[in-house]
Amino acid sequence: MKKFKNILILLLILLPICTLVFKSQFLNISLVPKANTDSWVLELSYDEVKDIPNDPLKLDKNFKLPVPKTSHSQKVTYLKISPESKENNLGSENSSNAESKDKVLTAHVKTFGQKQIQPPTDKKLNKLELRKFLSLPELNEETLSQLNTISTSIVFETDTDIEKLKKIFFYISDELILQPNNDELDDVLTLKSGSYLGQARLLTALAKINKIPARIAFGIQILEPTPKDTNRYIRVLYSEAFIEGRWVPINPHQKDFGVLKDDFIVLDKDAGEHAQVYNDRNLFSIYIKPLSFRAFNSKSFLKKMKEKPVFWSYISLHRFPISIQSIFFGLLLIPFGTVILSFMRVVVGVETFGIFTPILLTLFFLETSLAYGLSFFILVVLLGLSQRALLDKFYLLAVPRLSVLLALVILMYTGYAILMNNFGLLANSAQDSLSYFPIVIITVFIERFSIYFIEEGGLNTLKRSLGTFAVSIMCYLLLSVTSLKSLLFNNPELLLLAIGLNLALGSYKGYRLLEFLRFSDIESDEEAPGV
Amino acid sequence: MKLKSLGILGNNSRIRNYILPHNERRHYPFIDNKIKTSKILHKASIQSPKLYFSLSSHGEIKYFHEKIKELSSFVIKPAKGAMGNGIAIAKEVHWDSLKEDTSFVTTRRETMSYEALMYHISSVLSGLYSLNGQQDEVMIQELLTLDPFFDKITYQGVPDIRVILFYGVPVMSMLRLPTSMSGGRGNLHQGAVGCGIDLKTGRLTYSIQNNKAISAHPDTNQKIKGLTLPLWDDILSLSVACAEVSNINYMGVDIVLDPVKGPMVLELNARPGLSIQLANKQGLHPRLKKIEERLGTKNKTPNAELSLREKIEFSKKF
Repeated sequence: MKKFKNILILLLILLPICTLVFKSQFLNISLVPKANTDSWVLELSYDEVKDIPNDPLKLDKNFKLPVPKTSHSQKVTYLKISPESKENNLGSENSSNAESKDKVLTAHVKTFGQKQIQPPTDKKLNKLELRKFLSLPELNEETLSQLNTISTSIVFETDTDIEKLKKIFFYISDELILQPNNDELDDVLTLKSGSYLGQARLLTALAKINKIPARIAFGIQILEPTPKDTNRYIRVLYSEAFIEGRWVPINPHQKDFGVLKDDFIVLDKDAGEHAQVYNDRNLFSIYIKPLSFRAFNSKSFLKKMKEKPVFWSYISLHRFPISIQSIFFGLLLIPFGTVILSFMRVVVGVETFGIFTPILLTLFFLETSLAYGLSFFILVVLLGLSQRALLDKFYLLAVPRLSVLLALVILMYTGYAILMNNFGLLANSAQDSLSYFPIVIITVFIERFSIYFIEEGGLNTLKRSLGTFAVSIMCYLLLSVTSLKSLLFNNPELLLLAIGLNLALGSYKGYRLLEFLRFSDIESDEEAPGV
Repeated sequence: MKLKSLGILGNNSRIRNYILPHNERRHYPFIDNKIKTSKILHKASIQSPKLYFSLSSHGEIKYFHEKIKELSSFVIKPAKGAMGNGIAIAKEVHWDSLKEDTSFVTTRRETMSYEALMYHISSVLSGLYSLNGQQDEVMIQELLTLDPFFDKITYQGVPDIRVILFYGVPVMSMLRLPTSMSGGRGNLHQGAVGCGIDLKTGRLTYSIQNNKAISAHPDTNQKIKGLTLPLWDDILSLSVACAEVSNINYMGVDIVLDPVKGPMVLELNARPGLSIQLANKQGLHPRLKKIEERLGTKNKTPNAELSLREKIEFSKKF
């Protein structure tokens, strides 16, 4: 029997792992669907050594790495520049110096995507800024006259700034072809084609001729990562024009006016003279990789699954309607929460209220959120305890007493919701957290807790509560890992693993860790003084 | 692994190596339900507190008043309770022909109203204190008096002697002394004192409170080590007799010393705790192994049958 059990455990643990390997290695099914990434690790570096000093065009002594900033379309969560000493060394500039290595900037950027055009503001540019953003670069006569000709041919004097800009935008997006490496304005004009930089230069120049402040901005358009290569992006130099009190991005090649594409990271809103360097792969390098993701792309996964052998696609949970999918998405991981529970009780020796109370609490936290759930729970339990102490004085029979307690918990729940609503907070987090399910858990917990408190005293109750909370928070942390949920959802056979692990834990005969503490005094030969 | 070399039995090993393989689930009700235990013990003429009467439904509560007419003291216990929870003690009964005027004095010298006691009984009946929250029964039992031997080493409650037996052989034993911290109750995890007992002589050895060694009772400051329990051989044979009628192979017996009636069995326990090892500074494991070797225990029945005398002789060699 023992042998059979051990073989079973081994089988239950190995089988799901083998199917995972089989699926990923032989059937080429990815274990989790492709993630929709929204956070990126960005690495920017500038190789100064390659900046050839005798090439006046490329020499850019004042170049500094662009620092991505938080704005309405992106959030910068982490920023580091290394090596730091670089700035101080500028005085004794020496390219052979060992310290003048590449300067690297690392940032974590979360993109939101711009859903709508920014509203106009009353902001005005000051004189200095006006001069800067209206002054044309040094151009030869011929180029300037060409620009003026174009401008007069497409724009009317009576047009508003926005109309003028739009006309310029359409002119460039319709008439010009993208031509890499064609950066210079005169070339763009003669060849009717240009790189991102060339097109941006043309647009900016045309805007400036029409007395609209404009500048060249720089960012990267992130492309969908492939399994082999996550570092996929396009360097985009585009224009920004100042109209009605805000800077409006204009990217004629990608046909974006006012809003940029979703997966776009803005690096420098005022590239100015550095634009040339930004555009140079050899001097200025960019590396991106996904950091986190918001959700999994279930649809495309199912599409891929359907190309696989019939059996695997037949048992895929992605075939369910979305509403049912979401149930299984959370459900399948719960047995792994119980693995943690078993481990904590059997191997560590933590004491908890009841056997499954920690798991029920975990479900409660999952349905609300940890911070909200925990604080609300503790508050309600404390209030409930005092109410129960009062009810104890009435000598009520057990079932009606529990029912009164239930009604009181619901009453507190309602009061809480009213309060939240009046503070206008209900719309956000609380809305999801108000549900039927937790109420019974809370009521039963109050009852169990208060009896334990009366019977076993405060200290023992506190120990047990801490144990219960600790285990449920650990389970919560496990159960809220989206990629794990997705892994289980795609490979439900992993449930066998949970059974195997629990069988193994159930066969554990060794000491519980806390027993070492409990029996720690057994060897001390002489007794401590009494009292 | 210090604990392993001392032969300390851990909780997992207790369950997996002894309780599950050696105790048959179908015999549990006789131990988990104290009314059944009491009846079996009486049938086998084993000394135990008298069961006055029991209540199994809320409807019977109204007859309670009539039934206690003749009683001067009693103990109320949930039949399926655990760890001494839900026990109420009426040390004195101030009986009045009117229900409302009847009152009780508890061991803590507090007065309890009739209504409060009835509430307690109904809570017990509703399963508040039962092992798994099921409907429970209430037993009204004889209250035992304190043997003068314990006068100076206990606080309020009645001390009891726990004997752990394996196939009827006493394995280890300890005396449990209530303290102010334990609220007059004998539960070690609530702060009662546990004293190891030398199985051969009944002499008290080490003492612990809250898993820490102590030398004197914390409330009375009386030194405990070296005292010898009276009627030790009677206590041992009583425990062995219990094991023989219970059909539970790994069990604990709780025995109380009554000054007049001598050792009395208070209750049986199918899942005795492990702190007894701390009080004796000894592990259970080597002793249990010896018994297994001697008896050749396989499939819940021992190969060798020992007489009561032999069992006690065997245990005295530990």
